Amino acid sequence: MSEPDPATQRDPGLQPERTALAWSRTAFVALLLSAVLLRGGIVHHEPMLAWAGVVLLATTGALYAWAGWRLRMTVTRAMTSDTPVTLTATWAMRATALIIALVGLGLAASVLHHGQLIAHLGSLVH
Amino acid sequence: MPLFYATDHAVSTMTTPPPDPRRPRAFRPRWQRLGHHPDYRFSLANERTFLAWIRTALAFMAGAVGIYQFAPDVATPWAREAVAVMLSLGGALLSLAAYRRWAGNERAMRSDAALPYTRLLLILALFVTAVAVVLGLLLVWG
Repeated sequence: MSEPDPATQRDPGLQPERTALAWSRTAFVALLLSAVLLRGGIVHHEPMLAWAGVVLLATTGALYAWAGWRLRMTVTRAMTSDTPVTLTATWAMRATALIIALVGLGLAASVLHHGQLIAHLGSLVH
Repeated sequence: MPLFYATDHAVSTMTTPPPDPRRPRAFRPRWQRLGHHPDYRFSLANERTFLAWIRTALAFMAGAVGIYQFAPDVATPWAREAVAVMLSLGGALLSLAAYRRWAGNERAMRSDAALPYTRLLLILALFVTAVAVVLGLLLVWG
């Protein structure tokens, strides 16, 4: 049996594990934010806020599923020092960034639509 | 022709697999076909950095909802709304910047270039300082 490659020998499982934990940590923060959005949207009757919460809650489920999948995927890939940057992983990151940006825009739009900020700025101009 | 092509580097690095023509290449960003694959640990570290930025963006938005709806005694509504809009738009931009930064780091590692320095940290620090000053003023005079 030949000497294992130093790159694989040094770090058997921790890199994939830490990465999967980072994904599930992110999913947990998304869960917290979706709970806050849902509560705010329902209690204060702001449908856009509630819908942003629904979208983020669905994203949270997908993120947890992806965290588990990513762990298995990266563990097997780490054994051969194969790149973890797969097409699926690239799209998972794109989708995550895009959905969270859209949730942020929805939140801002809801605040502007239901709040007094625009009216106040209008009164300052006149 | 691109300067860095996967086959050129196949011999020089241990992490570059030979190109597999059976693999679908549709939807793969062009930069991922240039250069060679970096050490998988660096790619995973880059991914975790992306996720840390994403969590920062989520925390900004949670703060926005908190100031908007869960702090009715702080200042006048329009002032709280202004801070909430600032925070949620900041979070949305940060989320997109996270992907941009991940792709930039990955691209640099693929061509053995230095990692791009980012002004994002300075912008983030100034942004958080501005929000903190505004909130402080609201708490004192609001």
